[in-house]
Amino acid sequence: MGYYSSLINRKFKDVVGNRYEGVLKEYREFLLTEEEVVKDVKSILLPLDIFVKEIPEELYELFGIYGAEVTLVYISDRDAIAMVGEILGEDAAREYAEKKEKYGHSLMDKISEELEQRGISAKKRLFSGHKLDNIEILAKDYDLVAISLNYGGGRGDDNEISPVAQRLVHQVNKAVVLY
Amino acid sequence: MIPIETLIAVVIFLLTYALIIDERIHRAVAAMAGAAVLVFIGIVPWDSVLENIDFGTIFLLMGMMIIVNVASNSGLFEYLAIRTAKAANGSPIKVLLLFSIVTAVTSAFLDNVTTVLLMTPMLLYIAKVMNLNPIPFLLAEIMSSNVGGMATLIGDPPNIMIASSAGLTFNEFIFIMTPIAVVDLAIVLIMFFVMYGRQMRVDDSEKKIIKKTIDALDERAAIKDETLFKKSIITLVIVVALFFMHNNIGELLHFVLPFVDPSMTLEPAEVALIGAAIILFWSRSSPEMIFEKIEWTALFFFGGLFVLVGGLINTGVISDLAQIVINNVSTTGEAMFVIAWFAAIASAIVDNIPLTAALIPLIHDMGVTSTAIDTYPLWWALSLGACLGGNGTAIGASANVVVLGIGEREGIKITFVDFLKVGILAMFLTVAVGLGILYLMF
Repeated sequence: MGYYSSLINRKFKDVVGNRYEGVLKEYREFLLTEEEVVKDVKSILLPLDIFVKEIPEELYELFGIYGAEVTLVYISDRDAIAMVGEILGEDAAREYAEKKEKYGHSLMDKISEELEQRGISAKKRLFSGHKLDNIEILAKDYDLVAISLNYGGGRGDDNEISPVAQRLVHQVNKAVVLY
Repeated sequence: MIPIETLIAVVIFLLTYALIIDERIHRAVAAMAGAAVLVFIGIVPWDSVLENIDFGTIFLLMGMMIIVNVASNSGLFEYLAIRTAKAANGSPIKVLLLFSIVTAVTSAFLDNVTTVLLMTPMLLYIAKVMNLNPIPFLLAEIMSSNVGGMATLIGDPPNIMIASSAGLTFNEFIFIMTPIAVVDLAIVLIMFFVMYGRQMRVDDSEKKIIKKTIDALDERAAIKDETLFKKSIITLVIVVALFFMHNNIGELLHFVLPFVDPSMTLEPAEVALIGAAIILFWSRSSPEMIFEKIEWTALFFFGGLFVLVGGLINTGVISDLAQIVINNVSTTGEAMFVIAWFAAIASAIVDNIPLTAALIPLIHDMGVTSTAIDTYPLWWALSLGACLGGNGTAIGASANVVVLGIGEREGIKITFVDFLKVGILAMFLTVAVGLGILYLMF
């Protein structure tokens, strides 16, 4: 650090003391974060499953800011369906998959309605697969991925974030909003 | 042969000012240490220490610090910053103009350091949203704060010191310095528009995104305490109204309360302390918390400076310097020229507060020594030079240091030379125009 920089820092410290840290802390409470101000977001991927119960209002507002198209994707866990089939038979597995699909459709209908009410266009996709792998692949085609802390389940009292969501945050090479 | 006491006073004064410029030792500590040596040696006798300190300045600063601290606890400044950002409608040039105007107006009534400290993070955020170089915005904010501070008696510490020592009123500042500040602000903004206007163009789609992002900010969320917010605004309005009336409050009160002496006046410091008492009483804010936030270091810094300058007065240095000035100027106009430009150039190097502290007794002495020179216009020349000289260099005023310091912390480097290129130009233009207006007035 040169003389000029250290001089400015000394003078800043003497004039302001520790007030700046307090100001920053207060601003952080209502300014959008770095991730939230990512610009040119035209497409957003919103993975859903049975563990994602609702979308917070702030997230709808964020989608509204970008005015981007939101793709809702509901993935039924293929491994779980296979496991039901192995234990209870194919009919039970089909019934299980249908129930999951029905729930997925109803959840996506509800959320897409909420989005459209706010003037945000929404697309829906539903299929069975592997949540972690499929989302990672799908994310490549989107500018932003919004992941629920509960996505993929397994979030107990001790877990702030589900293992699937945690791995997605690290593996998805796109801007991520965790809610 | 220079008397040894004089030599010691000058050396201690210069050494202390060098320490203040370098700031390796806290400026308050440097000023107090210098003052302590003068008292120890007896150049400023202990009995006269308090006589040297301008308590009008100290209490005015203290009162305003209390008011600003309580007001800032309500989220008032953040609210103002978000509203300003939204009013720009996603246009970078409007962001620069509006933030400069709001900063100038706020700095005119509240202290510059708090104003820029609370405005700069918002400005940086908006620059990030706009994906534009934040440097022009930061520089414009600094210059506007210094120009705005010049507009009123309470806007900048040099004005507070000048008014307290020369007995100038709030309304005199409004009539003389505010028009100059308005013209100078326009000059600064035109200068920035010419220099950086091209860099601030964004296309309509970008503007739409910027507007959407900024519109998403909720100014109501910035208000931490709705009741305190309203009380702060009302108290600030009362305080500003009292400043407008402080010199003829007796006449005004006499109309409704005939027993009030029409000649009654209030000192600006009294107004600030009354405002502080009102807001503390009304807001029920914890006095311990608010008093803790008073910038005691700044107040002790001022105290130390007053004693240091007292040493120069007691040893005759100030009267000798005044005599030199008088011998070299023959009219008030020449003296205004010398004071304004010397104050401007020296303020850019030393920081305008210690510079003003040293020049105030010099002008007093000139008034005593010379009958050809009217000192009244000289106070305004000093205010002009000291406030605008702060724009000259990166260390010329506290607002500069605060904004540049925040920039450093956020990874935005504005070098000394980068600042100088813009600052010196702004300083010369604004001082020259301001001095021209003063010549027309006097």
